Amino acid sequence: MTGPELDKMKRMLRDAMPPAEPGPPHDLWPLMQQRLDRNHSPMIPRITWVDWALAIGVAVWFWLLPSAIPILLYQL
Amino acid sequence: MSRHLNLRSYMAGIAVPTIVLLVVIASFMVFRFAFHFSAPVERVIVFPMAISPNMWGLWNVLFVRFVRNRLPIGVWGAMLPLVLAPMGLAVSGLLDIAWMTRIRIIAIGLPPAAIVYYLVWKHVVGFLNQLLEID
Repeated sequence: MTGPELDKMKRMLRDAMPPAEPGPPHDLWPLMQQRLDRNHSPMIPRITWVDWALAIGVAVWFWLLPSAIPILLYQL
Repeated sequence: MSRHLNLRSYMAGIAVPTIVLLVVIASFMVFRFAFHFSAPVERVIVFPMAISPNMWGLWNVLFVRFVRNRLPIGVWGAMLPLVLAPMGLAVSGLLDIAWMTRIRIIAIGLPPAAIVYYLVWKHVVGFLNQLLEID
């Protein structure tokens, strides 16, 4: 097969195939990574001021009434 | 990961009291042998070793199956002492644990237990549920 024949064959092949779609305008991997991270890392609930107030209240309760500690440990 | 939902929720629930029990037992043993502190641990340990962890697991199974769309997990956890307290009283009565009286459990133990349970269920059991892709 000579050079012109090869060029003709290439042109025919190119015309026969549908044009390739252009790639995405930007890198998709960061978005994929964000999605994977979101799905696999559990959400740790935010500690609100109510939680802090309750924790302080319990600490005060145990300080005033230490006999509540073994009762809690017994139930836990 | 939708398989074995009951098993995973049971495991997430049982984790906290199991770990706490190990710490409590180890601390008690140190006190007992190092400082000659005597207490009827064989009788006291039955409830926190056998009943309480299983109730935590079952409570989380119930939460995942029936409650999670109706109540926050912390509120559901805070209700567990209301179930555990009568059971603890019954067991302590059967095993003749004198210091575990009704008035002590209800008046002194129940309010802080409900708060501690609320915090632990909200922040620890809820975290484990998400980690195991339950909630």
